[in-house]
Amino acid sequence: MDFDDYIKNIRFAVRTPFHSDIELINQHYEVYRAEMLDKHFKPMNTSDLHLYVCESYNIENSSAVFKGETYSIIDVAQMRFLMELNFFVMNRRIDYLLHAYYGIRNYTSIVRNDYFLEHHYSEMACDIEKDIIESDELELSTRQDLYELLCIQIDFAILHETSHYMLDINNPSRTIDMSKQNDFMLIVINAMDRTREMVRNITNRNDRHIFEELLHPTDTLYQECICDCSTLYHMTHLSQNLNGYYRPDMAILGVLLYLKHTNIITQAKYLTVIELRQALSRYYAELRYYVALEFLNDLYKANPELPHPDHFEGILYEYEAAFNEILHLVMGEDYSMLKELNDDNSKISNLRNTFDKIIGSDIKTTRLIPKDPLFPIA
Amino acid sequence: MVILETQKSNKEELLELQKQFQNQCEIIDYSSSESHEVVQLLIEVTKITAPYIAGFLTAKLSSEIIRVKKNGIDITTRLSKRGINKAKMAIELLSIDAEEDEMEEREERE
Repeated sequence: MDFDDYIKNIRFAVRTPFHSDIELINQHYEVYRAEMLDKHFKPMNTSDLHLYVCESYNIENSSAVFKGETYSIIDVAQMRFLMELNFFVMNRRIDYLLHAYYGIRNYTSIVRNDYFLEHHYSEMACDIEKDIIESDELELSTRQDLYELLCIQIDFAILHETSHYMLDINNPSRTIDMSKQNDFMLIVINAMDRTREMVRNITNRNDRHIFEELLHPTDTLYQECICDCSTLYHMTHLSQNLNGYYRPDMAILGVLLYLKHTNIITQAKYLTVIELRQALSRYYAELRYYVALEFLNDLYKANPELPHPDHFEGILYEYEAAFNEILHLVMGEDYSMLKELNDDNSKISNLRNTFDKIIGSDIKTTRLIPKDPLFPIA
Repeated sequence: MVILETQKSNKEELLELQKQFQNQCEIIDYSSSESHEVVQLLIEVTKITAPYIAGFLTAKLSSEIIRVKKNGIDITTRLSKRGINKAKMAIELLSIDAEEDEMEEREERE
C-alpha cells in the first residue's frame, strides 16, 4: 500500500500529468526548498517532505501525512483553470471566464455524478455581452507576464501546502494561544479579527446560521489563513531578495488573484450543493481573501517599499463584477435548474418540467480533457 | 481499496477499525481548504475486512459521521435517503412517460 494507491483512491485522475508540467512544478519546489525551507525553517528536516503532482477532476491542492511523511499534492487541473482565469484578467474577454466556469462544472459533474448542461451553457453564453469589461487596458499584456503570474501562483500553492507541514511542527497542538505566539502570528490573528468584525457587520441576519462558524472559526480556518499569510510574507520576502525571481507587485497581484480564483473555482464546483459544510467552503475561500488583504495592509505599514494592496483594487473589483455577471446569468439559470432536479421536495410535475427542459436542450455529457501540457516550454 | 473519512474530532471512530487491521490499512491526515481537516482510513477490501467495513458503515449510516470515498468519488450520498428518493422519482417519471405514450397511441387509433 503506497502513496500512489492512496492517490488513485482519493482522486479521480484525468491522466498522468505531462512530463513538462511535473518538471516545471518540481523546479519551483526546488527553488523554494533551497531558498526558503532549508534557510528559514531550520532546524526542521525537510527530507520527509515530498511534492506530488497529479492531474485530477477533483481540482484541488492538498497536503497529506502518509506513513509519517508529508506530501504536498499539487493538481495540474487547478493550475489549468487558474491560467484560464488569468487569461481573462489579462485579455478582458468574458469568454475565458465562461470557458473556465464550463470546464470546472464539467470536471466536477464527473466526480460528483452530477448533471452537466453543456448545450444549455452555450445558449446562455450568447446572451452575455462579450465586452462588459470597459475600463482601461491592463499593463499585463505579454506572454511573459502571464507566465510569471502563473509561476507565482504555483509557488503560492506549493508553499501554502508545505506551510501546513511547517506550522504543524511549530504548533503540534494546533491551538492558537495568543500570549505565546510571535509577532507574525499576532499580525495574522489581528487581520482575522478585523475581517470577522467586518463579516459580522455586513452579515444578513438570515444568513446567521452559515456565518456562525465564521464568527467562531475553527482551527481549520486559522490554519488556512496562517498558511496563506505565512506564504504571502515569504513570497514578498523572496521577491525583494532573490533578485529577478519575480517582481513584488506581480507577487502580490498573483496571490490576490489566486485567492479570488480559488473562490470562483469553489463556487463553480459546489454550485448545486446546499450542505452547510460545502456552503462554508465557499465562504471560507472568500474570508481567506479578505484576511490576506488585511495582512497585506499590515505588511505594507511595516515595509512601505512593497506595493500597497489598494493598487490592485480596480483590477480585482472588475474581476469580481464580471464574475457576478456570470453568476447571475449562467450560474443563476444553472443553479435553479439543477436545484429543481435535486430537490427532494419538488413535486413530480416540477421534476418533469425540468427533465423536459433538459431533454429539449439536447444535453451532452462530455469529458473535457485538455490535449496540451500546461507548460510546453518547460 | 476504499477510503473512510471523518472530521479530525471523530478520529477515534476510525482508530478502532485500524487497530483490528493494522497491516491492511493506513491512517492519513488530510488537509485542503475545501474538505477541511479530516482523517482518512485507507483500507484494503478483502474477504476478511469486507464484513467489518460493511458492519461499521451500517452502524454509522444514519449519523453521517463517516464518508466513503472510492476512486476519487464520494459515494456516501449513494446510500442516502435523498438518493433513494431520487431513484423513486425517476421511476415514477418513467411510468408517466409510458402512460402518455399509451394515451397518444389510443388517440391516434381513434
